[in-house]
Amino acid sequence: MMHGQEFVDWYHRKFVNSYPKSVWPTVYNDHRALVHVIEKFDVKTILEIGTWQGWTALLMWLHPNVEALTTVDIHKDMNIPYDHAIHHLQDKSFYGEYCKFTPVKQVFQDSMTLTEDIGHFDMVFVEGNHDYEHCKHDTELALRIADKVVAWHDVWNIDTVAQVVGYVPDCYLVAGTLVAYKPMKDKPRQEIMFGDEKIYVGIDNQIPIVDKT
Amino acid sequence: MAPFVSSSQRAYFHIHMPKLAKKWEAHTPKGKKLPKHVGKK
Repeated sequence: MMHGQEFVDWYHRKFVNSYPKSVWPTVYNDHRALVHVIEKFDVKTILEIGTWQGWTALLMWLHPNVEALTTVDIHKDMNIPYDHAIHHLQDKSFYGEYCKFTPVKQVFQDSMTLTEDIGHFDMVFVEGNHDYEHCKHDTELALRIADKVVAWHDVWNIDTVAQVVGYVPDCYLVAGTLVAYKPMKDKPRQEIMFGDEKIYVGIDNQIPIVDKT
Repeated sequence: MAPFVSSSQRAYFHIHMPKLAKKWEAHTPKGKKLPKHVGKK
């Protein structure tokens, strides 16, 4: 069974080498970092926020450790204003194109309307709309429903994402990539300041999730 | 013509050889649960 770099090499050789020219791939090192996170935390279930073409969903789902993957994105037919999304600039025909022939579960929904009802996952990968409000909402949700690890993409090349991830303590940036992750083992109660807004994450559900100060 | 033997094979065909994938789909029982990967023999 392939793991680590061997798995990423196999995936790139098989699937990514003929990448359509007009799109912007998540680069090899970022894929390597995600696979590292999946293996380090023994991730079996994943929620991906932000599907776009489905390349990353396909990568993560193909990994031998992963048993189930749910991916969420809006659909072009939903007519939702989408100002800061990278794929707004790209070919709009891509909506999970590359993972739709796998058992990956695709949910077409604005991530702003996602709640904890979606369930718990070992890992949540935050790569939805990159504007501040979406990224903040997705991060807050991820910190509540991820049991093992939360990962983000575009953490330093996009200001709004950098700002949100910058508020989350105990994050690790994977060197040479746009990927950061936060271990969620034991989910200790934690107070996080998003600018002047305080949120709590962790196992104590009695504490209000959002407390505007 | 053969049925798909794994999900990764099905994904590969749909991405790289969509016409052939369509034909292979016709030979794969609907709802058949395929393994993710098939090991080397």
